[in-house]
Amino acid sequence: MSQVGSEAGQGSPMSIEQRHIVLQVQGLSKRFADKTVLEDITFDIRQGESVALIGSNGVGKSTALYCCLRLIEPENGRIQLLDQNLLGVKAKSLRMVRREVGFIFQKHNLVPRACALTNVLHGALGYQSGPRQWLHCLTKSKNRKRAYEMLERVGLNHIALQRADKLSGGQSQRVAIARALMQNPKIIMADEPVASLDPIAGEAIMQLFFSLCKSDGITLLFTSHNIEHALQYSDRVLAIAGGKITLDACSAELDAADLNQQYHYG
Amino acid sequence: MDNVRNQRSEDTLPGRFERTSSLTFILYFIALAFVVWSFTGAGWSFSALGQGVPAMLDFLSRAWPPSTDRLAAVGLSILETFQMALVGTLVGIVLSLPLAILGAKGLTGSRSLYFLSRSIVALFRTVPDLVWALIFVITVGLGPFAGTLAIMVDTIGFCGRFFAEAMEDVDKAPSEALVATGAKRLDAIFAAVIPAAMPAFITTSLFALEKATRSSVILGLVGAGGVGIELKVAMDFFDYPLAMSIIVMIFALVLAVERLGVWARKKIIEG
Repeated sequence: MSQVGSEAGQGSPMSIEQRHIVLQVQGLSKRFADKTVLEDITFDIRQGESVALIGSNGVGKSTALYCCLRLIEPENGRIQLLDQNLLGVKAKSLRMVRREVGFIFQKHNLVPRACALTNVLHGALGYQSGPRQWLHCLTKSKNRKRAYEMLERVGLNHIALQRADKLSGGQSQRVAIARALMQNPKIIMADEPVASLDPIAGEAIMQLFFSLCKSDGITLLFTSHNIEHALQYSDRVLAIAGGKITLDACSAELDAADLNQQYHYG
Repeated sequence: MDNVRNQRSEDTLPGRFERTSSLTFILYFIALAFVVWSFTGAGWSFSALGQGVPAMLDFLSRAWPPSTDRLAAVGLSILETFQMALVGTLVGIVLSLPLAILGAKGLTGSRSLYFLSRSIVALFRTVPDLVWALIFVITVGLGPFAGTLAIMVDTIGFCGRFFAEAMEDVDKAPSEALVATGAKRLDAIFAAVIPAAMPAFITTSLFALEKATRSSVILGLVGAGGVGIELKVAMDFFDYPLAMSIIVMIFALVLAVERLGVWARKKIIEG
């Protein structure tokens, strides 16, 4: 396994194996009507790790990711996320866990009629509820400033007041990343974050996304169709086929051509 | 060869109309017969319409030119009519929002609250505003307040339904994204669902104001304030020039509100 920086809050470098497990999935299964999508999925992710989840179309990558945050209810299994057994918790505790997990959707899922700054501000709704958090013009100066700083980090502070439905696909995904960063997350899950973008914009977004996660020591779990992206931006690759985890290996040991053949064109 | 192909095409060519069952045909026939019968029930008469034309011309000739004697008093009544419509609509819109949130399918997750809210909104919508005005005249007495309350209830019925449907129709993805950040359901509704439904809210609200302006004229006939009572008195005393001036002012008011609505819709929605 590769060495990636030092554990947040600690001075000495630490190998990934020594780090705390932030997400542990055991025996996860999910059915839709009569179709079993996931069957006995088991894996864990340690703090600061970047993990790519690959597999062909419709294999259940997104479902697995959604189940990890209980955005889709799994049938069976155990999900230990940030030291909480997610399947056993009540609504309030679930919200407490979710607010520490950034989730990037394939199509950014911004509020279209709200400006970029307001959309970023929404990332703090898990911490502060109520009307003052619904619009940037109502919120406290401290929150407004922090949302602006997050936009600055993704290079979009110059369009802070532009409506989300007027932004390009790449800009929208950057705003979604800023919204996730606004949560001050310990882990970010991303469901094919660049699938709806052109290759150049996709590459730029992945680089930005990865560098921000690394600089903040954020654990990253992302699904991808792009094997090159998966290998380049992850420490470890998990592959799903036939509803099961069929590969769990260090990215540096894998070959893109082999993976392409096995999981996409094979 | 061509003959064989033509014959085959004729055999497989679908019919112009779908064949209906005998029962469906009978039901269609009954519905059509009821519509024809309804013309009789409604007293529809082309001869009466023809005979009414001279009477209409006579009314117009006696009403023209409109009277300017009580212009200031009628102007104040028109203003009061619009104020009733405006306040009734505004309060109605505000009160309809919580009912719409509870009555939008899948938004709050409570089926009992959904049915309760939908039932209240349906009751408010189905009872005509004139009936509400009669009830409020008994409750709070004669005057514009009774009319304002009637408009408010009518607006809740109208906006409550259309606001709920607008919220049901919006893309759920942004609110799901906020739920994923740990936001409360209510925060997700106000921060994501309502902004997405805002164009529909604005259109519905402006239609409600236009509708209320027209209604507020009629409500005066039962003593619920506004210019309606002035019109009734003018007609009862055969003061047709005054009645004409009131009709012209009502026309101007309703037209102004409609034009304002078109302008505001364009300005707010298209930004």
